[in-house]
Amino acid sequence: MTDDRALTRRRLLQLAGGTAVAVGLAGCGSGDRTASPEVRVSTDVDAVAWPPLPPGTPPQCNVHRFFTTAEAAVVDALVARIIPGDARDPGAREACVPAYIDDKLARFPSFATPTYFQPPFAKPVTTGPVPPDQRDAETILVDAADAHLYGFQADLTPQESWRKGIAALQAYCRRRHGRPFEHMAPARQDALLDRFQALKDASDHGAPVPTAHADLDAAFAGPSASGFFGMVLEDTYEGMFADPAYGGNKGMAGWLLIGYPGAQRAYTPDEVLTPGTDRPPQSLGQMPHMHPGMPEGDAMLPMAGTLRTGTRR
Amino acid sequence: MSARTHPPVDVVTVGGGWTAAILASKLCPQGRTMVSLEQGASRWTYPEYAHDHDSLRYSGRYAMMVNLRQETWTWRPHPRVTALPMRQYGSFNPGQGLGGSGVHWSGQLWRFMPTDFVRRTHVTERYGAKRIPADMTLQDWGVTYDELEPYYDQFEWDIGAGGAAGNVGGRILPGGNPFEGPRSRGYPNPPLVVTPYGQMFADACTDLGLHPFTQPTGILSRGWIDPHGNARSGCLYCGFCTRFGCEVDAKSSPQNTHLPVALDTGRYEVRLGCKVTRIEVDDRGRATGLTYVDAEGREHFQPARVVVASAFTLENTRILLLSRSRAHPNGVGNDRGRVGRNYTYQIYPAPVTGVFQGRKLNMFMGNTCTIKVIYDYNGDNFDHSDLDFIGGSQLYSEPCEREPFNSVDGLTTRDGKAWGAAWKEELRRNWDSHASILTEGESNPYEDQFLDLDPNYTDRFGNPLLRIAFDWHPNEQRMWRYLAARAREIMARMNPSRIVRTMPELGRYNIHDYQSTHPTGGCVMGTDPGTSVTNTHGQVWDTPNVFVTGAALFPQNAGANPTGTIGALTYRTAQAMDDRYFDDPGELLS
Repeated sequence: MTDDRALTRRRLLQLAGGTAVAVGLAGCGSGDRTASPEVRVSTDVDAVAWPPLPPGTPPQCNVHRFFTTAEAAVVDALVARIIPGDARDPGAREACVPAYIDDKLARFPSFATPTYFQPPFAKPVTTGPVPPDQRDAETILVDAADAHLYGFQADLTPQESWRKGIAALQAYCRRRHGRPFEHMAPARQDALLDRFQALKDASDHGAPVPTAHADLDAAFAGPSASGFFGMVLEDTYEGMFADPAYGGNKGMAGWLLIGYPGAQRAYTPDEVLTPGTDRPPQSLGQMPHMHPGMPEGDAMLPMAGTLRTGTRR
Repeated sequence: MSARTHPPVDVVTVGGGWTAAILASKLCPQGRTMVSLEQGASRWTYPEYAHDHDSLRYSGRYAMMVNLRQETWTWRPHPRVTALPMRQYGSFNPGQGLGGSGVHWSGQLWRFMPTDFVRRTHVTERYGAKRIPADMTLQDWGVTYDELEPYYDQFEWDIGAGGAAGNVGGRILPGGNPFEGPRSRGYPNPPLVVTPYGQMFADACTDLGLHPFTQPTGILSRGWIDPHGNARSGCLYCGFCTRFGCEVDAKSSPQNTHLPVALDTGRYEVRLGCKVTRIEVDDRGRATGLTYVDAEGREHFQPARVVVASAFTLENTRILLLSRSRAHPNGVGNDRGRVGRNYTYQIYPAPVTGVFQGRKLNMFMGNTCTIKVIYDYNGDNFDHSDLDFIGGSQLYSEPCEREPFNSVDGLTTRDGKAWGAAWKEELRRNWDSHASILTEGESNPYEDQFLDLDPNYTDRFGNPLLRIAFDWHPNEQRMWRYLAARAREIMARMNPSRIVRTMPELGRYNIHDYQSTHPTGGCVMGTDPGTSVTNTHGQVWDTPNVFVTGAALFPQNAGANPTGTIGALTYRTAQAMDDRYFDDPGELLS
């Protein structure tokens, strides 16, 4: 993803800080009226953690830093059913999605996406609507029939959700199918994922747990079966379809599949008006320089929390 | 107080976004001194937006939005149940950093219609007072379209807006929106080009006798040197627009319009990394300035003659409520308990999504303004005599800035799945051959729909989060049923090979699906202090040296994006302050 031409002094500094991918492009200048006259690195305490920065070097497909070998085998089997593939027609496994997910979890001990993670956390109850003041220090009660309207309310980090979710899945598969998930036949795996889907559909609409899948639901104490399945899907989508600079979407397999040309700097009005494009996909690291005429023509991605305190120009 | 006290200025604002920049661009050249206290960081077109079209960072990780690690908003469907925090981004995406939400906005630029400003009067006169539900607190704005027109015009010409005028001086022109209020002149620039899907939508609408036109835009359709000398490029149709800064200044933002003008005076300062915690008031109840905490955690006090709440809708309401004092025990502006009232939103979902197998739609080229829109079913543009609701919505072709990682699950198989071998084949065939019709609908105010302070959740300083009570009501649910049926008629006319999904019923509001960043109301304007927080200049009734700007002033939300109206109202406030306020400071403006 990286381009040697972009390895300037500033870029090296950025890489040393564990961040950065190069940028740039031709032409289309912003005049200096809207240029930043002074940029200083923030002392904001959150600058390091937020917002997240793209990794400088894509991880290797077969290296895992967060998952154990046993866990990695389950992740590999799961994503291979979400987007199946083979060497000729890559799916999530071939596109390095398991390594992407592992890298994301290793990089962010808490959440990759900004998350308000303060207690009290919600506890759904089935006794009907709960008046506003029903709480103790740790939990706050909410009507289970409304719980789906409030979005993410779990008290687990993604690391915890993945680890505990995999354990619950494996325990269920051994008990119900006599073998771990990754050793089940693909058709059996799909049938089980269909049951997760049914639980997710019910949960998304605030419907009761379908009786036929109550045992699967009960096998997950935290995360919920539907929450775990939703997380697997979302992380697989990211790994398959986000920019390869993040370590997934190897060979731009996801973008070639759907016909997306990736990070293009511009389309002409004629291209917009004409259906379809034959541009080959490109990663953000392959984009041309943005401001070749400017002193820092290969400007970096905006750094987290860059702060300009003296704002008089 | 151990806070460090700064030299006094004429005006201090909460937030360094677009309305603050507009005020500064009008007041500082006249000799006023002004400081804006902005919680986020500096961002300028160069070098900060010279980024790599990084979807995951900007769309996936919300790099330009309020940092939810530090604070959020809580929500409940109605006041009789508990509220929970929006722990991860969902319904709306308020920005932070220099320029605020004016950097990552979509560029859709509207004027509200003349009837929008006299909603209660208009509905009453045309249909009778009984058509307004008893708990719907609909009200007139106190300012009319004709009074605002010159300010809309100035704002549009200052930022180089693009569009085809539909009504100049009462003359209806082809190609524009025939339902818009009369303009004194056309747009300074033409509209953007429209993608193939937008054209299909327009053709279907024309076949049905409707009146499609191209989305008016705050994105430049060609190179432009504005009246202040800012030189800006035309749009590159890159497809990375909403939630991104524009690297060529085509999308209007404070940084390429009003900020340079203000900063060039030397009398405007934006102090970054500074979180305002309260408006201070004296014993008489007049504001004395703002207390804030800097990036190092030190407390400061910035005295000023005038305080402006110029942050996002929700934070403006919150800062008034947090500013409790002996003189104003329930917060600034809240002596009559009206702060938080008339919170409204925007009806946004997609009523129908179709697949057009074999046709490429270019859904990843362009932006939210390379589309076609109809106003035939917006506001009161259609007769509601025999309908069971009031109000309406735009219908428009899906915007064209599709990014795959967060959109692939929008295309599902016939059995509703977004995984598996059959789904993979569906993606291969139809990822760029499916699209929706969208709504941008009115949201009406109700007695049980309001903002207050949450008793359970706080920000990093221990201050209560803002609590939202909001859900769809029967009028909006019936309105949706009607609009969704109209959208399905248009979709059918486009002859899709398959319908992916329909949403015939609106159902209940939820906080987790992104809908729009158009929370409105909470500090509403009006002519009666019994039903409003400010007068029509945004001047707070009970604390007249405090002003509010932005969509918090809207008594209810119309069927259009708010930015154009926010700009026009702010221009009007700036002129009133400049013309009259400082001659007689502290007095209510007429």
